[in-house]
Amino acid sequence: MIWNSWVLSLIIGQIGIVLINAVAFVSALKIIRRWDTSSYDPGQIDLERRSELVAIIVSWSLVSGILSLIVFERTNDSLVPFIPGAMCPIGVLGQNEFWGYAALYTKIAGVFVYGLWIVLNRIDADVEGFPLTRLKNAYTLALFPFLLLDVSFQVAYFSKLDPNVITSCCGVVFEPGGGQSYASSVASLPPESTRWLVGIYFAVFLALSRAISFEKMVWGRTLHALFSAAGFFLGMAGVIAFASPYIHQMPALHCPFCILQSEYHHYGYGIYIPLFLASLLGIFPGVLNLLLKHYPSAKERIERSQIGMIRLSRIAWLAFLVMIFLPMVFYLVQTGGIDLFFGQGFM
Amino acid sequence: MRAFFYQFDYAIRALLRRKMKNASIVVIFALVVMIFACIHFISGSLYKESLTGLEHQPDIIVQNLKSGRQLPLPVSWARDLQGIVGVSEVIPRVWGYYFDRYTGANYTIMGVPPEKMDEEHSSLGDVVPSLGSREIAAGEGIMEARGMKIGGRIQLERPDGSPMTFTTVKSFHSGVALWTYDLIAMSSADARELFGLSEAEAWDIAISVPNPVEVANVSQKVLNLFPGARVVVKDQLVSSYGTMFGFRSGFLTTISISCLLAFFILAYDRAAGLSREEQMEIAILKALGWETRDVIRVNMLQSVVLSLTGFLLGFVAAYGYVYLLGAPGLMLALTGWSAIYPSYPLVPAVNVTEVVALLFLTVIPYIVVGIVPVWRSCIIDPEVVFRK
Amino acid sequence: MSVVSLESVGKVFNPDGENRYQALSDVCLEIEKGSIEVIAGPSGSGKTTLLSIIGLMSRPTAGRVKILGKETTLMSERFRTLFRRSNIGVLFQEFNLIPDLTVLENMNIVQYPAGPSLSRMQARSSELLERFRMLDKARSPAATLSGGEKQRLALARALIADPDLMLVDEPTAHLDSRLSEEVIAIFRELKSEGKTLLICSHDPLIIKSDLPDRVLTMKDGRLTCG
Repeated sequence: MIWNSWVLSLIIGQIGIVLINAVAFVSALKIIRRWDTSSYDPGQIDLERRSELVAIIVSWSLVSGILSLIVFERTNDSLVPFIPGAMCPIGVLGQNEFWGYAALYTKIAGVFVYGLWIVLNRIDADVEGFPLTRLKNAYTLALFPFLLLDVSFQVAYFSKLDPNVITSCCGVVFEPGGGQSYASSVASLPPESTRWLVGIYFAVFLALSRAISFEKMVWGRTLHALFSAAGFFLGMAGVIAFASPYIHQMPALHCPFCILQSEYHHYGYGIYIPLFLASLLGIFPGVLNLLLKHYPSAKERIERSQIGMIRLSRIAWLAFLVMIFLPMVFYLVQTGGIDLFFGQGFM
Repeated sequence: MRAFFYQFDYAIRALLRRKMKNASIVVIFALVVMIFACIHFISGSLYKESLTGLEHQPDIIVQNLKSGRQLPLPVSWARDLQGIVGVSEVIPRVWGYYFDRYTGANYTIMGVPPEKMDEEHSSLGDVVPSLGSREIAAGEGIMEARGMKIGGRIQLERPDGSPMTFTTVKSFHSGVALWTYDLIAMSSADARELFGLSEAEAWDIAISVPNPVEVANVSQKVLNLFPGARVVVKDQLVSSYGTMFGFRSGFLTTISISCLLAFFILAYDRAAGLSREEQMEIAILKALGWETRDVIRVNMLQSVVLSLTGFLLGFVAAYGYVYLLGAPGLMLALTGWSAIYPSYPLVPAVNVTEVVALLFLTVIPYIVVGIVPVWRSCIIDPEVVFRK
Repeated sequence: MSVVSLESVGKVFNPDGENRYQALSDVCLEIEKGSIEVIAGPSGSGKTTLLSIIGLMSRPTAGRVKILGKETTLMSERFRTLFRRSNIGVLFQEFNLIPDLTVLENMNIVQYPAGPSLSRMQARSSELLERFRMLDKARSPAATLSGGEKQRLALARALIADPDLMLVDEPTAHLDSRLSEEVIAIFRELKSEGKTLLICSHDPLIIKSDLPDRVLTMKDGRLTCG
């Protein structure tokens, strides 16, 4: 086990989040059982108030949960000097692969899972008569085991890190054509076609979405959600396949974590934040579609949310596109048109 | 958005309306932060200086052990070690500790071979001058303790008690005080005589290995050549310093104490609930059309302002105390293990992540704990409050 | 049109506890738009609780409440607050001003949650302060005002959102007869502007004047006419 202030803060913070949500869990149970908006019973008033307090506390804890993805990455970064052979967080993760990646993927999924709760909560607060409260509390119940998993994976991961065991660095993990992992197969994607693929995919997607105003139609939102979901994975692949090498200015360096480090001015954040935002804001409206039929009183408010989110999602996708292609443009300008991958003129 | 700014304005003005109470919260918070920050700064600076010193340590040191204790080793070992692939320089070293009965202090005596004189000695950060027979260069601490000046004399005793008199030719400058304070440099011949080592003996052997990847191999080969020897590798020292100055050195203790203290402040101020006046104010705001959410937001803004102000104050105060004033009082407690201690200025070393961690572990609990009492006051019907 | 409609409204405090107290029982009330109703009755008869329920500051434990056509009986706190903010002005018996704030600040904070532009907020506050001749005291702390001035400030504050319904609790309790007459005159003005007023008072100056369209009596939590 390696301790430093990052690991300490992260674990303490996560435990705090679990504790608060345990309280919310208990309240949610009560609410689901006894919620009755047509009751005069002072118990109902009490439930409503508790529900409000719980909502405030839980939404803040979930925001920290989302941000903890960044903290997790920073923590791994801070451990790099202690793990022999590691030069970026991939190396640290690699030392305890199973738990490390489990924790990472759970956190990434968490961004979406927690985010959805936050959106649901805001809508619930704005609609008279609390139509969505029962649903929201059921979701709170379902969230709790997820949070437990999140923390458990992290504890399992950090506790097994050993400063005496050598690990492989990202150059090996993301070796194109080399290793057998998923990562290296993504790194092996031909950069030329991948960048065309990414460019064309998003151009078509965003143009369609804007031109037909996906946000105004129910099926349009579902489409936008599906495009965004696929876009998330495609975007990640794009980062590994061609954006990362351009940022490092070395064709063989595909690591998606190294670009977050200070030597590259933390450029990676400029790519990932729009990517996540765009995916979140694009996918949620599709999910919310499912609610429209069952909660007619909330329909107007939900639709307002959906429209807003899709519009923002388009802007975020655009930002992502700019950020992912900027290093390439920058490189071409610097070298006067010579492509990184082919040593010759850009096609 | 505008509503947020108005509420922020309200929050600040409300704080200013109760100056005494809020000022005392800020001061207590600042004190808590200051204590932690001082300890953090001092140990951070010492750690940084130790690391700097370590930089100039040899990559590998070979020592002779018998029964787990160190003994002089034959200088002939150096020849064998020189033959190991990857080794650039092999230097037998003569040095040791000398207990001075007159001052009750321990000096470090370093024997410098003639070929190393008159050049900058990297681990000292200073030039070791040409030292003839019975000439020494001494650190500031020794000069002071013995009341010596350049040209003055000092008497040291051989193992059999017979005296050796030395003339001080130079003093090491204060910039490298941490390393040279209690150091005496003399020719290796003199050092051997002082310690009773023969020409064929040395205390340990320093090995330079330019390529860090090869250090492990070289260490193994040294052990193959001299199975009973102890091989000290610089990298190990670096990571053990790190552990020592890190978590276990009391970082956890100081941060937990700070948290506990912060919570103590919270308990005093918040858990007791709001004063009658504050409750009245909340009820009026609710009656005027402020939602619970708005009132809680104002309260959180106040908490943030108070705790951040306290934090900054404490931080700046600690910085001034440690780096501008030299931490009088505290330094004594931390470094007073030897009779001679330097009054050198500490090099600023601020670890941003630890500062941020402290920020989160004090400010956030303070904000969070404030929510529930405020919420409790919010949910009371205004009418009930007015009636009282 | 009915501005206030109460059907068998009851309110019990601490229904399960030791201090169980029935403040209101079976209250029925209809108030038409533009009228001034006065509710008289001794203290402790439930007048303040009734105002609190009509003002959406608390929920009844029985019956139905409709304000300005909207069913508000079981509305959540948030929406009650939002509704009250824009539609109901309340004048409290003890004024309930924030003493350390200035007159102008007391006016402004009502508008903070809605977040209007600074100029609009100041304009609205000044306009009302001027109407009630309080503008020259705009920067004085509320604590330094006389009884009559506090009343005028409280009135100005209640009118910020230009509400259709005004609830007034013992307006003349802290005023001498001259100031009381002034206040009654202001109420007449408000009525002529189309506002509906519900006034709780046991001051004969108000009850016996030509101000109210109807006087109701409240006793032990029940309401009777005449």
